[in-house]
Amino acid sequence: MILFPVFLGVILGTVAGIVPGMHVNTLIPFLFMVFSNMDVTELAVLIVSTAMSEIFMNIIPSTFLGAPDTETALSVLPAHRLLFSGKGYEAVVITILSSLFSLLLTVLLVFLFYPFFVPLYTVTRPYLHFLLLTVIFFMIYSEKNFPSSIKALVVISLSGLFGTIVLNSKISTSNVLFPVLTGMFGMSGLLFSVSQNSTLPEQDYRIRTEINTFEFVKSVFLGSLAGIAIGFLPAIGISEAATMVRYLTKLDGERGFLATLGGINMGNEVFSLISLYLVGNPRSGASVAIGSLLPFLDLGTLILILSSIFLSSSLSSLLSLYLGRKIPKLLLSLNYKIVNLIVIVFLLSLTFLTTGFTGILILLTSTSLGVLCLSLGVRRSHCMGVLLIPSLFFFSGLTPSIISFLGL
Amino acid sequence: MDVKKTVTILSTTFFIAGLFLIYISSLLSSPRKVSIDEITNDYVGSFVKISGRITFVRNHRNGHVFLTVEENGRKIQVPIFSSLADQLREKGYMRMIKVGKNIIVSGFVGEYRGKLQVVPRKLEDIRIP
Repeated sequence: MILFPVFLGVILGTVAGIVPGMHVNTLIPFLFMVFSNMDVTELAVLIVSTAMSEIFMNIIPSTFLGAPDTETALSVLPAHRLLFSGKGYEAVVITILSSLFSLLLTVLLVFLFYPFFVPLYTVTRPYLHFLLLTVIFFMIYSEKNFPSSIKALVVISLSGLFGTIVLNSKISTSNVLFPVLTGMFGMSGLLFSVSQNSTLPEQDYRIRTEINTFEFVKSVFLGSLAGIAIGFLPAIGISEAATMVRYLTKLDGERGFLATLGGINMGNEVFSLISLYLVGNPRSGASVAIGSLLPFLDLGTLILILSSIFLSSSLSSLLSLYLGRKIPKLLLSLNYKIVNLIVIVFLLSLTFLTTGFTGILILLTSTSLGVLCLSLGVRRSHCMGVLLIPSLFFFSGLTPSIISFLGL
Repeated sequence: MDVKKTVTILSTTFFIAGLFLIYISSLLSSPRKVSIDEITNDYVGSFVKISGRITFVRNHRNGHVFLTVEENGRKIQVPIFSSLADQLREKGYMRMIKVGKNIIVSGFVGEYRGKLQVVPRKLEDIRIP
C-alpha cells in the first residue's frame, strides 16, 4: 500500500534535493493538484517520503555547487572546505551516516519525551523573545575576534532590517522567503565562485571517513537533541544551532561540524513533520500539509508514517551515495564556471516565475547581503537575522509599533 | 586595487539601494480592495483590504482577539494578536469592535488549520467606519 507513494516520494525528493532552489514546499501544491484522487494517507506518505528524500539529496548540490575558492574558506560551508581538499564525497558520506544515525535517535527521543513537549512548548512561548535575543548575542559573541563580532553585528542588523521591511511589506507575496534565502545562501556563493574562477580539485570517491567514532556519536547525539530543540524556537536555523552546539561542547573540525549538522537537520525534520501532533502547531510546510490530510493520527497511521520515514530514508541514502559520486564526476568533466552560471540563470528564472519582478528585486538585494558577508569573512548564517529579528519583534509584541514607525 | 574592499563597498551599496527600492515600493503601494468571497488560497501571502460586518468575537486568554467578518454571506477569520489587541485596548478602540459593527481590515491573507484569514499588523490596519 505504501510502496508506491514511498518510491514516488524518493524520486520527487531526489529532484527537489538536487535541483538548486527547489524545495518540498514548492512541490506540495503540485502534489495536491496531481494526486487529488489519491487516498489521504497515501498522499501523506508521499509528502513524508519526498521531505525525507530531499534531506539526503540536499548535501550533493550544497557540497559541489557554488564553492568559492580556498581564500574565503572561513566564511564558506565546512563541506566546501573538504571539497577543496578533494574530500567532497567524504562530506556526503558523513552527512548521510549522521542523518541515518540521527533518525534512529530522534525517533527514540521523541517517543521517550513526547509527554513533555506540550508543557515545554507552552511554558517557553511567553519567553521566546528572550531566547531569540540570547541566540543573537551568542552568534555575535562566538565570532573569532572582536572586529569579526562587530562585522557580525552589522550583518545581523542589516539582515534584520531587510527582513522586517520585506516580510511586512505590502508588496510581499506568499513565496517571498524563496528569493530572500536563495539570494543570501545560494546566489551569493555562486557569484563569488564564478568571479573567482574556482575549479574543482580531483575528488576521492571511496566510502570512508576520517572522523573518529566517539566524536561522530557525540556530534550526532547533540545534533539530534538540538534539532528537536529548535523545533520549539522559530527562526533558529540549522547552522546557528550547529555553531552553538560546536561552541558549547568545544568540538571543532569540519567533519564533526558536518555530523552535527546532519543530526540537527534530521532531528528537526522528523520533529517538524510530526510537530502538529507533538505540540499542536505545524513547524514546516510539509507538516501543515500532513495536518490538513490527517487531522488526527491513530496508532496504525503513525506506524505507517514511521515506516515510510525509515523506508524512504534507507532508499534515499543509497541513492545519495550513488549520485554523490556521479554528479561531481559530471561536474568535473564540465566547466565548473559554466555550471555555476547555468544554476544562476535557473535560480533567476525560478524566482521570476514564482515571485515576479518584486522577487527579482528582493533576490538581488539579499544576494548583495550574502556577498557582503563573504567579503567581510564572517559566517553567512548571520544573514538569518532576516528571520530572527522580525521574530524577536513579533514575540516581544513590538511588531505593530515598528511597522507603524516605518510607515509600512 | 583592493578587490575585497571594492566588493564590500559594492555589495553594501547594492544592498542599501535594493532595500531603499523595496521600502519605497511598499510605501507607494496600497492594499488591494477585495470582497471576502473573492479570497481563495491563491491570495495567501498577499496584502488585501476587506470590509464587512463582525458576526463573532472571541477573546483568547492570552490577549488575542478572534473575529469573524461577513460580507454577502461569506465569512473570513480576522485574528488580532495580543500586541495589536493591547494597543487597541489602550486607545479605547476595542470597545467599538463588537458583533454587528461594520469593520474595514487591511492585512496579509494567511491560512490556519485549513481556514483562510486576514491578519492585520498595526492600528491603522483596522477601521470602524
